[in-house]
Amino acid sequence: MPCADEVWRLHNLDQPDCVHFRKFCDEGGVLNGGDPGDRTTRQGTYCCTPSGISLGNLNHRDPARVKELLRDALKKWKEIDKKDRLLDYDPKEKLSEITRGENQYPKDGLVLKVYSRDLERKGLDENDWRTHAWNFDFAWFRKAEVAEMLPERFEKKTEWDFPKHLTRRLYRIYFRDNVRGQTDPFPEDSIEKATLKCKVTKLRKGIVTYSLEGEVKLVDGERGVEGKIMGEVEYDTKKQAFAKFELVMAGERWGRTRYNAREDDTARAPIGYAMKIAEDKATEKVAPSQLGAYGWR
Amino acid sequence: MKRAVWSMLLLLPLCGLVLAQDAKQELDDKSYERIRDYILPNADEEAWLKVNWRATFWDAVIDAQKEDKPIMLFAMNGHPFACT
Repeated sequence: MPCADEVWRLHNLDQPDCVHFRKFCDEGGVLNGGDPGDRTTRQGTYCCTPSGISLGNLNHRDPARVKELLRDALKKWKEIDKKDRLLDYDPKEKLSEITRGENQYPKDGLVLKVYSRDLERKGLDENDWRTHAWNFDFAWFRKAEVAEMLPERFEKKTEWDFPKHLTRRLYRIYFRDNVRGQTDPFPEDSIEKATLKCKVTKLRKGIVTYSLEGEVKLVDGERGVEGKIMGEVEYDTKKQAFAKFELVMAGERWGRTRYNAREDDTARAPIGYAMKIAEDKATEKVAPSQLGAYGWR
Repeated sequence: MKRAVWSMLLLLPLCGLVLAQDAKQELDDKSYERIRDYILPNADEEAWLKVNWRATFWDAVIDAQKEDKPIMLFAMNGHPFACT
C-alpha cells in the first residue's frame, strides 16, 4: 500500500498516526545519522505492517536499493502471522483525533497547482540534478475569496484589480524560490511591487473569460524575485465555478535560503511559475506547504 | 562603406541570436504558451504520480488493514505531494 506524507509532523506530534509512526521508524537503525529520541529528520522510505511492525527502511534515491528494500519487506511480511501484522482495532476510529491542514481543504473554493522551474539559461551542467529540478505546491482559496475575484458586472471590457490581499498572498508565498528545495515565503514587508489587473475579454454561453496581467518584485535581504505575470480565467456563471484558471510568471530570482540548494547560484537568473486548477483526487488535496502563512482561522 | 555594410549584414544573425535569447524570458502574448509549457512537467517527469498513492500515512493504514497488505511510506521534509 504506497503512501507519502510529511515527516516532521509524524516525528514530532502526539496524534495517533504520529505515535504509530514512531513505533517503527527507528527500528533496525535510525535514518540520517540520528539517535533514537533525537530531532534529526527521519525522512526516508519505510515499510511496515498496519499494526506498526517495521519491515525495513532506507533513505536513498537509487531505484535498485528501493527495490531491494521492497523485496525484503515482502519476505518479512509473509513470515508474520496475520493477527500480529494487523491492528486489533479499526484505524478509522482514530480519524477524528487526527488534525491536519487537509481538514481545511476548500472544496467549494478554488485550488491551484503551482509549478516552479528555472527557465532556460546557458552554462549549466546537464548531468546535475539541479539543472532539471522542478517543484510544485498548492494554492487554496475559500469560497468567499473566490467571490472577490469576480467582476462587479459580467460585461466585455470590464476592468478591475484582482483583490490586493489575495495578490500579495499569492505572490509572497508562491513566487519563492523552491525549485530545488523548501524555502520560506517572503514576508509581507518584502513586497515592493504586487499588481494583477483583470479584464473581461469574452462572454459566451455563460462562460466569462478574463485576462490577468501584473508585475511582482519582492526583496528580502539578499534574496529576491522580480517578474511579469499573465494568465487567463474562464468562469462558468451557471455552475458558479472556474472552468479554467491559468497564471504564468516569468522573471528573475537571486539569493538563497538555507535549504533551497542555491549555494553556488545566487546571482540573478531566470525563473518561472505556472498555475492551473488542481484535479479532484487525494494527491491534489494535500495542504499548501505554507498554509500557516495564510492567516486563516 | 561597403565593408561596413557587409559587416552589419554579417552581424545581423548574431543580433538575432542575442535578441532571441533575451526574448525567451520575456513574457508576452507570443511567448506565453511556450514559457508555460516549458515550466509544466512532461509525462516522464510525472510518471511517479501514476502510482496509486495514498496521500497520508493514516489513509494507508486504514486501507492496508482492510486489505491485509504491507505499507510503503515515502516520508519527506515537506509533503512529497506539496513541495519537499
